[in-house]
Amino acid sequence: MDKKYFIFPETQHYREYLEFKHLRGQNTLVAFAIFFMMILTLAYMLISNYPAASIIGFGLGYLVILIFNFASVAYSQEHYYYLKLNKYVTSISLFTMMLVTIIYFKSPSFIPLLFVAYAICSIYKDTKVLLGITFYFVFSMIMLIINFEYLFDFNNAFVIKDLAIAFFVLLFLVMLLLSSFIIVKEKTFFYNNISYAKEKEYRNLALLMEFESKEKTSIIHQKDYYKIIDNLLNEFSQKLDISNPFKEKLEIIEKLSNNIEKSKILNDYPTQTKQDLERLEELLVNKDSELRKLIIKIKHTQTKRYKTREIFSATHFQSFNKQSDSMEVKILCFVVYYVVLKKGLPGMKSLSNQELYDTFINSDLCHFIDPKIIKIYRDNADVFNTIVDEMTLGVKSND
Amino acid sequence: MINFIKKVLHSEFLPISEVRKLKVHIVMSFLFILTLVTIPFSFFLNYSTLIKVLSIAVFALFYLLCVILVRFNKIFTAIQISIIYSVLLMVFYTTGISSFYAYIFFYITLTIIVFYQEIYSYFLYGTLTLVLGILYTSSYSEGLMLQNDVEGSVFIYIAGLVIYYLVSFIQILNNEKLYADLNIEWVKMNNLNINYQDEMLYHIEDMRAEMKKSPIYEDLEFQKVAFELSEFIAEQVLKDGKQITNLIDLYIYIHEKGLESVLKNDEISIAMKKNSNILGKYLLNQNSDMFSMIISFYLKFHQTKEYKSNRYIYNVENITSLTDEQIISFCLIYFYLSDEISESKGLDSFKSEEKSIDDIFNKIDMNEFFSEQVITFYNDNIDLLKKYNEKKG
Repeated sequence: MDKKYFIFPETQHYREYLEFKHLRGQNTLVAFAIFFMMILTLAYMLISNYPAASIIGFGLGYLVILIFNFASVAYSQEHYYYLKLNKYVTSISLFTMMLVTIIYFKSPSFIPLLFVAYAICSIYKDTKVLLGITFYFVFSMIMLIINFEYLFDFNNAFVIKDLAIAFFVLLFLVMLLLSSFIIVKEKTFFYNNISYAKEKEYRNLALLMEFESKEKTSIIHQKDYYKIIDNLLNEFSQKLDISNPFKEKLEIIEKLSNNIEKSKILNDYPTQTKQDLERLEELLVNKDSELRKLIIKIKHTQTKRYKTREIFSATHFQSFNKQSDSMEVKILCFVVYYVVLKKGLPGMKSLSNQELYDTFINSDLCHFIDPKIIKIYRDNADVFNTIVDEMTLGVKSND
Repeated sequence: MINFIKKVLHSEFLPISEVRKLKVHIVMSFLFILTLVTIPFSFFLNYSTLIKVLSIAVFALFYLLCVILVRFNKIFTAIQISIIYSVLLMVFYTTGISSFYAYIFFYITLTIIVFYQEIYSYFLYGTLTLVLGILYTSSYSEGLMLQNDVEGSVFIYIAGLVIYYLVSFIQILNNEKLYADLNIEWVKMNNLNINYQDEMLYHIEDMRAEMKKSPIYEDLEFQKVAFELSEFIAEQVLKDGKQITNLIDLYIYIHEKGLESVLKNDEISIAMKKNSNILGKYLLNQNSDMFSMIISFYLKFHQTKEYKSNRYIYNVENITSLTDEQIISFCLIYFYLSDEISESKGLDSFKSEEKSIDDIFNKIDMNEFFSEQVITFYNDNIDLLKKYNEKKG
């Protein structure tokens, strides 16, 4: 299956950040479960009077896994990689521990511990971990059947017991894998959408600044705030009985906003460096600065409490491939979308056929359009190009 | 089948409601296989023929009920029915038989219930399965043991089941909390983006008026191409391609007349009103899903700075670490936003009824945008700021 790139490549970083943020909590849960398993195993061995060497051996086995866990969490402050590595190592180690337990005790009653290990490892919600432990599970079962056949020599006369056990173990594994896989996908859904919304916000702010800059009537070009702020901060300094520490920087910001050469400003204010000016440039309100971005963000932010119905509403999910929409609506949406992008809205450039094709076919956007429609577009891109090119040519000749 | 597998593999692109439906389909397929297997398998079970036939008939009925519920989009009920169905299958397979395979069935049922990730369903049916599992293991332990099995093997079987139940329960609780938090974060971000797009739509309309251009949906070339392309796709996907022409006509008509007036018009049929309601999400002259997706696509080709770890941090501390510069920034924000409120054009971009800059600062979490020092400066100097704001006029 082709790997599609993300529509905004930067989302990859925030997705990793979310992964890292939640992995620590998941790691704690897994470590707690392993600790619990260790206590139960040691308690059983003590009660059943197993040799001290065996008890210490099992205790050490579990402790090594736990110590590796704690060390990885500590090192993850340095690099996220350690936490990632930890989930793979812990999963494999836990499965190995369970396998050793089954072989040591020589009892089928310990086989369900493999199911428990699978459930514990699936807390990580990681596809690679899932595939790894699934293979390990299958390998363990085959190995037990071949080398430790006596483990399945139960005290009953059920005719097809071997077949039944094999079938139900396989069925259980398939269900467990599917269940864990869908849970991983649910998590990915949120990670994808949050990182996408974050990047979209960043780009929305940049586009809004661009739009505002284009508007001649915008207040950002009309007002002079520096004089009034100077007076205000002067009074504030007097109130504190100190000399005005803001004056010089305010003057520099004003000069930067009036496009005075930086070299001239540096000559006038020798205590300031080039880096200082670059930083102060981000405080201009009449340019595309970080401060402008912050202003727009504050303007649109509202802290409100969301109702459960509002939070889980399906309306937040934007797609042209909704199950509730008919095929006609899906076709209409795609066509309108495609033609508007080709033609371009005011203030936005029209996109080329190649840009459209590449994004529709090769990015994750294709999942938001019905696969049948995408297939028709992919197979008939030339037809689509010819039809829309006629439109753009028409527009140019009209102009 | 291939489409179904593709859907499972790409389920991260489906909304939660559709994933829930997908889960029911998976469990249904699973139960279908199990029910089919039950027919030959029942020959080896110690039931009378009548019981076997009746049981299989009941399973078939349950399956049919699930299919009907899914067909009518009653997903929650379908989930409950499919869980009861799996519990009944478990009872059928385990009653009167002492075997390791029957013991595994308790894990299978628990996994099906876990799959749905519903706390109450798990608590109810999961606990029931666990209790039945414990009773089964204690009553039919002889078939689960070897000749010389280890001491207390029955308790190990029970402990395995209990731990599996507990680990699954913890996982559901953890997921519930995680998904609720992520969902809130996502909804917040979405609402913010909707607010930005409101203002963007306003700017686009302004620019269009300045360019003296007609709206895109009134452009005859646009309409012609939309009709041609729709018909081209519809001919290959649908049996009747004519419906699409009527739908595009309606789509353009809604733009011209407005959705509300179309819905209020008594001369328009109920079917058309239903379609109009659906198309309302995709209008070009509103901040709709269509507008939002157009902006997203366009933003992909918008120049952007290289990624840095502080890319999504919007706080004056992120711009400058120096307190004097932060205070200057705050004053600039204060006066600039005050002007935006008082300017009639600025008012259009404020969604709620803020009358003053202080109203804006009251509705946001100041800590998200300003440092402690700046917030203290604001709180200690509200009167001074107001005084100069009035002076500024």
